Amino acid sequence: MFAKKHLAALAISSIGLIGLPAFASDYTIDTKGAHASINFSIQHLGYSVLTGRFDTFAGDFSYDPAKLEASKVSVTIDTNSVNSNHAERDKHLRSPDFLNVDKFPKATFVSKNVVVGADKSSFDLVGDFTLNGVTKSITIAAKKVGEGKDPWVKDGYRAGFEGTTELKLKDFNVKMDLGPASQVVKLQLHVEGIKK
Amino acid sequence: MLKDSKSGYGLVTIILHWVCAPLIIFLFGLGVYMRGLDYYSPWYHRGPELHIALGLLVFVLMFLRLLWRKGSKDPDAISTISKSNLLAAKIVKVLLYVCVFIICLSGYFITTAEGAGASFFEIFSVPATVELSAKNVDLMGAIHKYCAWGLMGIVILHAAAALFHHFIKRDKTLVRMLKPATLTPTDTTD
Repeated sequence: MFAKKHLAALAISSIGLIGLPAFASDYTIDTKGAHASINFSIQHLGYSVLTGRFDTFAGDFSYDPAKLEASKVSVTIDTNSVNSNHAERDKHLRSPDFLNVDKFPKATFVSKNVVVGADKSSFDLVGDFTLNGVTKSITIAAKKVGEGKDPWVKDGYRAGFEGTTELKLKDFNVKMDLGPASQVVKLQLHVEGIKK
Repeated sequence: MLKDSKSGYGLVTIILHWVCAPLIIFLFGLGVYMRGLDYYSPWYHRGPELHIALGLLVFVLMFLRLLWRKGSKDPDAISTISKSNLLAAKIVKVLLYVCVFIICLSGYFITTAEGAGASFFEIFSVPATVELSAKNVDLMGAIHKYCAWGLMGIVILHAAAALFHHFIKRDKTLVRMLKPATLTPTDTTD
Protein backbone atom coordinates (compact mmCIF):
# COMPACT_ATOMS: atom_id res chain seq x y z
CA MET A 1 0.00 0.00 0.00
CA PHE A 2 2.67 2.40 1.06
CA ALA A 3 4.79 1.53 -1.96
CA LYS A 4 1.84 1.92 -4.29
CA LYS A 5 1.16 5.41 -3.01
CA HIS A 6 4.77 6.31 -3.59
CA LEU A 7 4.66 4.93 -7.05
CA ALA A 8 1.58 6.94 -7.89
CA ALA A 9 3.18 10.11 -6.53
CA LEU A 10 6.29 9.40 -8.55
CA ALA A 11 4.23 8.84 -11.67
CA ILE A 12 2.36 12.11 -11.21
CA SER A 13 5.48 14.13 -10.49
CA SER A 14 7.29 12.63 -13.46
CA ILE A 15 4.57 13.97 -15.73
CA GLY A 16 5.48 17.37 -14.40
CA LEU A 17 9.15 16.68 -15.12
CA ILE A 18 8.55 15.58 -18.67
CA GLY A 19 6.33 18.63 -19.05
CA LEU A 20 3.98 17.33 -21.68
CA PRO A 21 3.33 20.10 -24.20
CA ALA A 22 -0.34 19.17 -24.19
CA PHE A 23 -0.68 21.15 -20.95
CA ALA A 24 0.28 24.43 -22.61
CA SER A 25 -2.79 26.33 -23.72
CA ASP A 26 -3.14 28.92 -26.43
CA TYR A 27 -4.72 32.24 -25.58
CA THR A 28 -5.96 35.14 -27.66
CA ILE A 29 -5.19 38.52 -26.18
CA ASP A 30 -8.53 40.12 -25.36
CA THR A 31 -8.25 43.31 -27.39
CA LYS A 32 -11.88 43.00 -28.43
CA GLY A 33 -13.02 43.46 -24.85
CA ALA A 34 -10.14 45.93 -24.33
CA HIS A 35 -8.69 43.92 -21.46
CA ALA A 36 -5.25 44.63 -22.78
CA SER A 37 -3.24 47.77 -23.38
CA ILE A 38 0.10 48.86 -24.71
CA ASN A 39 1.04 52.10 -22.99
CA PHE A 40 4.15 54.16 -23.32
CA SER A 41 5.68 56.91 -21.27
CA ILE A 42 8.56 59.25 -21.86
CA GLN A 43 10.08 62.13 -19.98
CA HIS A 44 8.99 65.56 -21.19
CA LEU A 45 11.98 67.91 -21.00
CA GLY A 46 13.01 66.07 -17.88
CA TYR A 47 10.24 67.91 -15.98
CA SER A 48 7.38 65.45 -16.18
CA VAL A 49 6.20 62.25 -17.82
CA LEU A 50 4.08 62.09 -20.94
CA THR A 51 2.00 58.99 -21.52
CA GLY A 52 0.26 57.56 -24.53
CA ARG A 53 -0.77 54.24 -25.97
CA PHE A 54 -1.36 52.20 -29.08
CA ASP A 55 -5.10 51.81 -29.50
CA THR A 56 -5.01 48.93 -32.00
CA PHE A 57 -3.07 45.71 -31.71
CA ALA A 58 -3.63 41.97 -31.70
CA GLY A 59 -1.79 38.97 -30.42
CA ASP A 60 -1.80 35.59 -28.78
CA PHE A 61 0.28 33.60 -26.40
CA SER A 62 0.74 30.07 -25.26
CA TYR A 63 1.15 29.49 -21.58
CA ASP A 64 1.53 26.54 -19.27
CA PRO A 65 1.62 27.41 -15.57
CA ALA A 66 3.75 24.34 -14.90
CA LYS A 67 6.22 25.21 -17.60
CA LEU A 68 6.49 28.96 -17.72
CA GLU A 69 9.77 28.83 -19.65
CA ALA A 70 7.96 27.29 -22.63
CA SER A 71 5.60 30.26 -22.97
CA LYS A 72 5.36 32.04 -26.30
CA VAL A 73 3.96 35.45 -27.17
CA SER A 74 3.43 37.27 -30.40
CA VAL A 75 1.86 40.70 -30.80
CA THR A 76 1.30 42.96 -33.80
CA ILE A 77 0.73 46.66 -33.25
CA ASP A 78 -0.92 49.02 -35.72
CA THR A 79 1.47 51.97 -35.47
CA ASN A 80 -1.20 54.23 -37.00
CA SER A 81 -3.09 53.89 -33.74
CA VAL A 82 -0.54 55.80 -31.65
CA ASN A 83 -2.55 58.04 -29.33
CA SER A 84 -1.23 60.68 -26.95
CA ASN A 85 -4.52 62.57 -26.78
CA HIS A 86 -3.26 65.48 -28.92
CA ALA A 87 -4.14 65.59 -32.64
CA GLU A 88 -1.09 67.47 -33.92
CA ARG A 89 1.34 65.53 -31.74
CA ASP A 90 -0.14 62.21 -32.88
CA LYS A 91 0.17 63.34 -36.49
CA HIS A 92 3.80 64.17 -35.76
CA LEU A 93 4.34 60.79 -34.06
CA ARG A 94 3.06 59.06 -37.21
CA SER A 95 5.37 61.09 -39.45
CA PRO A 96 8.89 60.11 -40.59
CA ASP A 97 10.23 62.11 -37.62
CA PHE A 98 9.06 59.28 -35.34
CA LEU A 99 7.24 56.10 -36.35
CA ASN A 100 7.10 56.49 -40.11
CA VAL A 101 3.75 54.71 -40.22
CA ASP A 102 3.27 55.04 -43.98
CA LYS A 103 6.36 52.93 -44.52
CA PHE A 104 6.09 50.80 -41.38
CA PRO A 105 2.42 50.40 -40.46
CA LYS A 106 3.13 47.45 -38.17
CA ALA A 107 5.30 46.88 -35.15
CA THR A 108 5.72 43.31 -33.97
CA PHE A 109 6.98 41.43 -30.98
CA VAL A 110 7.81 37.73 -31.20
CA SER A 111 9.16 36.03 -28.10
CA LYS A 112 12.28 33.87 -28.36
CA ASN A 113 12.73 32.57 -24.87
CA VAL A 114 11.57 32.98 -21.32
CA VAL A 115 13.85 33.21 -18.31
CA VAL A 116 11.89 32.39 -15.17
CA GLY A 117 12.79 34.36 -12.07
CA ALA A 118 13.69 32.95 -8.66
CA ASP A 119 10.15 33.54 -7.37
CA LYS A 120 8.78 31.29 -10.15
CA SER A 121 6.11 33.81 -11.09
CA SER A 122 8.04 36.72 -12.55
CA PHE A 123 9.96 36.13 -15.74
CA ASP A 124 12.00 37.83 -18.41
CA LEU A 125 10.41 37.62 -21.81
CA VAL A 126 13.12 37.89 -24.45
CA GLY A 127 12.13 38.44 -28.04
CA ASP A 128 12.48 40.36 -31.27
CA PHE A 129 10.77 43.70 -31.42
CA THR A 130 10.35 45.34 -34.81
CA LEU A 131 9.55 49.04 -34.89
CA ASN A 132 10.14 51.62 -37.59
CA GLY A 133 11.69 48.89 -39.73
CA VAL A 134 14.33 48.02 -37.11
CA THR A 135 14.38 44.62 -35.39
CA LYS A 136 16.11 44.36 -32.05
CA SER A 137 16.11 41.86 -29.23
CA ILE A 138 14.39 43.30 -26.16
CA THR A 139 13.66 41.95 -22.72
CA ILE A 140 10.29 42.48 -21.09
CA ALA A 141 10.22 42.09 -17.32
CA ALA A 142 6.89 40.35 -16.82
CA LYS A 143 4.78 38.64 -14.23
CA LYS A 144 1.48 36.92 -14.02
CA VAL A 145 -1.35 38.95 -12.51
CA GLY A 146 -3.87 36.15 -12.22
CA GLU A 147 -5.79 33.41 -13.96
CA GLY A 148 -9.01 31.52 -13.59
CA LYS A 149 -12.42 30.62 -14.86
CA ASP A 150 -14.12 32.90 -17.36
CA PRO A 151 -17.33 34.00 -15.61
CA TRP A 152 -19.16 34.58 -18.89
CA VAL A 153 -18.18 31.59 -21.00
CA LYS A 154 -18.84 27.97 -20.05
CA ASP A 155 -15.52 26.16 -19.66
CA GLY A 156 -13.81 29.43 -20.54
CA TYR A 157 -10.53 30.41 -18.94
CA ARG A 158 -8.57 33.62 -18.71
CA ALA A 159 -5.00 34.44 -17.75
CA GLY A 160 -3.40 37.87 -17.45
CA PHE A 161 0.08 39.29 -17.33
CA GLU A 162 1.82 42.60 -17.07
CA GLY A 163 5.24 43.67 -18.18
CA THR A 164 7.54 46.60 -18.69
CA THR A 165 10.45 47.33 -20.93
CA GLU A 166 12.49 50.28 -22.12
CA LEU A 167 13.50 51.24 -25.62
CA LYS A 168 16.11 53.73 -26.73
CA LEU A 169 14.51 55.83 -29.46
CA LYS A 170 17.80 56.01 -31.34
CA ASP A 171 17.97 52.19 -31.45
CA PHE A 172 14.83 52.22 -33.55
CA ASN A 173 15.96 54.99 -35.89
CA VAL A 174 13.65 57.64 -34.46
CA LYS A 175 14.92 60.79 -36.15
CA MET A 176 13.47 63.39 -33.82
CA ASP A 177 15.62 64.28 -30.83
CA LEU A 178 13.50 65.29 -27.85
CA GLY A 179 16.46 66.23 -25.68
CA PRO A 180 18.78 64.47 -23.25
CA ALA A 181 16.06 63.53 -20.75
CA SER A 182 13.87 61.95 -23.41
CA GLN A 183 16.05 59.36 -25.11
CA VAL A 184 14.27 56.35 -23.63
CA VAL A 185 10.62 55.40 -23.85
CA LYS A 186 9.11 53.00 -21.34
CA LEU A 187 6.46 50.52 -22.33
CA GLN A 188 3.85 49.25 -19.92
CA LEU A 189 2.04 46.19 -21.15
CA HIS A 190 -1.13 44.66 -19.75
CA VAL A 191 -2.61 41.62 -21.40
CA GLU A 192 -5.46 39.34 -20.60
CA GLY A 193 -5.75 36.21 -22.69
CA ILE A 194 -8.84 34.17 -23.40
CA LYS A 195 -8.12 30.48 -23.77
CA LYS A 196 -8.76 29.30 -27.31
CA MET B 1 -16.43 104.67 -52.79
CA LEU B 2 -16.87 101.66 -50.52
CA LYS B 3 -18.69 99.40 -52.94
CA ASP B 4 -17.54 97.97 -56.24
CA SER B 5 -19.01 99.58 -59.33
CA LYS B 6 -18.84 99.18 -63.07
CA SER B 7 -15.86 101.51 -63.19
CA GLY B 8 -13.76 99.61 -60.66
CA TYR B 9 -13.33 98.15 -57.18
CA GLY B 10 -14.45 99.88 -54.01
CA LEU B 11 -12.47 100.42 -50.83
CA VAL B 12 -13.85 97.31 -49.04
CA THR B 13 -12.74 94.96 -51.81
CA ILE B 14 -9.34 96.63 -52.01
CA ILE B 15 -8.69 96.53 -48.26
CA LEU B 16 -9.83 92.91 -47.97
CA HIS B 17 -7.58 91.97 -50.90
CA TRP B 18 -4.50 93.63 -49.42
CA VAL B 19 -5.11 92.27 -45.94
CA CYS B 20 -5.60 88.70 -47.16
CA ALA B 21 -2.76 88.61 -49.68
CA PRO B 22 0.17 89.22 -47.28
CA LEU B 23 -1.56 87.20 -44.55
CA ILE B 24 -1.86 84.15 -46.80
CA ILE B 25 1.72 84.41 -48.01
CA PHE B 26 2.93 84.86 -44.41
CA LEU B 27 0.93 81.78 -43.34
CA PHE B 28 2.57 79.75 -46.09
CA GLY B 29 6.03 80.83 -44.95
CA LEU B 30 5.18 80.22 -41.31
CA GLY B 31 3.84 76.77 -42.18
CA VAL B 32 7.02 75.74 -43.96
CA TYR B 33 9.21 77.31 -41.25
CA MET B 34 7.46 75.78 -38.24
CA ARG B 35 7.60 72.24 -39.64
CA GLY B 36 11.37 72.36 -39.64
CA LEU B 37 11.80 73.70 -36.11
CA ASP B 38 13.94 72.08 -33.48
CA TYR B 39 12.00 70.80 -30.46
CA TYR B 40 13.66 73.36 -28.21
CA SER B 41 12.99 76.35 -30.47
CA PRO B 42 10.91 79.14 -28.85
CA TRP B 43 8.69 78.94 -31.94
CA TYR B 44 7.99 75.21 -31.61
CA HIS B 45 4.60 75.91 -29.99
CA ARG B 46 4.20 79.61 -30.79
CA GLY B 47 4.47 78.93 -34.53
CA PRO B 48 1.56 76.48 -34.80
CA GLU B 49 -0.58 78.58 -32.42
CA LEU B 50 -0.09 81.66 -34.59
CA HIS B 51 -0.62 79.59 -37.74
CA ILE B 52 -3.96 78.27 -36.48
CA ALA B 53 -5.19 81.67 -35.25
CA LEU B 54 -4.27 83.49 -38.46
CA GLY B 55 -5.69 80.60 -40.47
CA LEU B 56 -9.05 81.12 -38.77
CA LEU B 57 -8.79 84.84 -39.53
CA VAL B 58 -8.07 84.15 -43.20
CA PHE B 59 -11.08 81.85 -43.38
CA VAL B 60 -13.37 84.54 -41.99
CA LEU B 61 -11.92 87.26 -44.21
CA MET B 62 -12.12 85.10 -47.33
CA PHE B 63 -15.69 84.18 -46.48
CA LEU B 64 -16.52 87.89 -46.14
CA ARG B 65 -14.80 88.57 -49.45
CA LEU B 66 -16.90 85.89 -51.11
CA LEU B 67 -20.10 87.36 -49.68
CA TRP B 68 -19.07 90.90 -50.58
CA ARG B 69 -18.19 89.80 -54.07
CA LYS B 70 -21.51 88.01 -54.55
CA GLY B 71 -23.34 91.12 -53.41
CA SER B 72 -21.32 93.51 -55.57
CA LYS B 73 -21.32 94.53 -59.19
CA ASP B 74 -18.45 93.18 -61.24
CA PRO B 75 -16.42 96.04 -62.66
CA ASP B 76 -16.43 96.21 -66.44
CA ALA B 77 -13.57 94.40 -68.09
CA ILE B 78 -10.75 96.54 -69.36
CA SER B 79 -11.43 96.83 -73.08
CA THR B 80 -7.85 96.21 -74.22
CA ILE B 81 -7.68 92.75 -72.57
CA SER B 82 -8.54 89.77 -74.74
CA LYS B 83 -11.37 87.43 -73.89
CA SER B 84 -8.99 84.49 -73.35
CA ASN B 85 -6.90 86.54 -70.92
CA LEU B 86 -10.01 87.57 -69.02
CA LEU B 87 -11.04 83.94 -68.80
CA ALA B 88 -7.58 82.92 -67.59
CA ALA B 89 -7.68 85.65 -64.94
CA LYS B 90 -11.10 84.48 -63.83
CA ILE B 91 -9.98 80.85 -63.55
CA VAL B 92 -6.95 81.92 -61.52
CA LYS B 93 -9.18 83.91 -59.15
CA VAL B 94 -11.55 80.99 -58.68
CA LEU B 95 -8.60 78.69 -57.98
CA LEU B 96 -7.23 81.17 -55.44
CA TYR B 97 -10.49 81.07 -53.52
CA VAL B 98 -10.93 77.29 -53.84
CA CYS B 99 -7.37 76.59 -52.67
CA VAL B 100 -7.62 78.94 -49.71
CA PHE B 101 -10.86 77.34 -48.54
CA ILE B 102 -9.52 73.80 -48.97
CA ILE B 103 -6.40 74.76 -47.01
CA CYS B 104 -8.44 76.42 -44.23
CA LEU B 105 -10.77 73.45 -43.89
CA SER B 106 -8.07 70.77 -44.01
CA GLY B 107 -6.09 72.72 -41.41
CA TYR B 108 -9.14 72.92 -39.19
CA PHE B 109 -9.71 69.16 -39.55
CA ILE B 110 -6.11 68.38 -38.60
CA THR B 111 -6.22 70.54 -35.48
CA THR B 112 -9.61 69.33 -34.31
CA ALA B 113 -9.18 65.66 -35.29
CA GLU B 114 -9.17 64.42 -31.70
CA GLY B 115 -11.89 66.67 -30.37
CA ALA B 116 -9.92 69.72 -29.23
CA GLY B 117 -11.01 73.05 -30.71
CA ALA B 118 -9.01 75.37 -32.95
CA SER B 119 -7.96 78.24 -30.72
CA PHE B 120 -7.87 81.89 -31.78
CA PHE B 121 -5.12 83.30 -29.52
CA GLU B 122 -6.89 81.69 -26.57
CA ILE B 123 -9.63 84.31 -26.91
CA PHE B 124 -12.08 81.80 -28.28
CA SER B 125 -11.94 78.36 -29.76
CA VAL B 126 -13.76 76.92 -32.76
CA PRO B 127 -15.01 73.53 -31.58
CA ALA B 128 -14.39 70.27 -33.37
CA THR B 129 -17.18 68.90 -35.55
CA VAL B 130 -15.87 65.54 -36.73
CA GLU B 131 -13.17 63.34 -35.29
CA LEU B 132 -10.99 61.79 -37.95
CA SER B 133 -9.07 58.55 -38.07
CA ALA B 134 -5.29 58.67 -38.21
CA LYS B 135 -5.28 57.89 -41.93
CA ASN B 136 -7.73 60.65 -42.70
CA VAL B 137 -5.82 63.19 -40.61
CA ASP B 138 -2.67 62.35 -42.53
CA LEU B 139 -4.62 62.66 -45.78
CA MET B 140 -5.82 66.12 -44.65
CA GLY B 141 -2.18 66.94 -43.91
CA ALA B 142 -1.14 66.01 -47.43
CA ILE B 143 -4.01 68.01 -48.94
CA HIS B 144 -3.11 71.00 -46.73
CA LYS B 145 0.52 70.88 -47.84
CA TYR B 146 0.08 70.31 -51.57
CA CYS B 147 -2.75 72.82 -51.89
CA ALA B 148 -0.57 75.38 -50.11
CA TRP B 149 2.29 74.86 -52.57
CA GLY B 150 -0.22 74.89 -55.43
CA LEU B 151 -1.71 78.10 -54.09
CA MET B 152 1.69 79.77 -54.06
CA GLY B 153 2.12 78.79 -57.72
CA ILE B 154 -1.23 80.40 -58.53
CA VAL B 155 -0.33 83.47 -56.46
CA ILE B 156 2.82 83.89 -58.52
CA LEU B 157 0.79 83.66 -61.74
CA HIS B 158 -1.75 86.16 -60.40
CA ALA B 159 0.93 88.63 -59.25
CA ALA B 160 3.01 88.21 -62.41
CA ALA B 161 -0.06 88.91 -64.53
CA ALA B 162 -0.83 92.05 -62.50
CA LEU B 163 2.75 93.32 -62.95
CA PHE B 164 2.72 92.40 -66.64
CA HIS B 165 -0.44 94.44 -67.18
CA HIS B 166 0.95 97.36 -65.19
CA PHE B 167 4.46 97.62 -66.62
CA ILE B 168 4.26 96.03 -70.07
CA LYS B 169 0.67 96.49 -71.23
CA ARG B 170 0.36 99.66 -69.15
CA ASP B 171 -3.34 99.20 -68.46
CA LYS B 172 -5.30 99.84 -65.26
CA THR B 173 -5.46 96.22 -63.98
CA LEU B 174 -3.21 96.78 -60.94
CA VAL B 175 -4.24 100.38 -60.33
CA ARG B 176 -7.87 99.25 -60.08
CA MET B 177 -6.92 97.08 -57.09
CA LEU B 178 -5.02 99.97 -55.44
CA LYS B 179 -7.25 102.98 -55.98
CA PRO B 180 -10.99 102.85 -55.22
CA ALA B 181 -13.17 103.75 -58.20
CA THR B 182 -14.92 107.08 -58.21
CA LEU B 183 -18.51 107.29 -59.30
CA THR B 184 -18.97 107.76 -63.03
CA PRO B 185 -22.17 108.56 -64.92
CA THR B 186 -22.39 104.93 -66.11
CA ASP B 187 -22.96 103.75 -62.55
CA THR B 188 -26.40 103.68 -61.16
CA THR B 189 -26.71 105.06 -57.67
CA ASP B 190 -27.75 102.02 -55.67
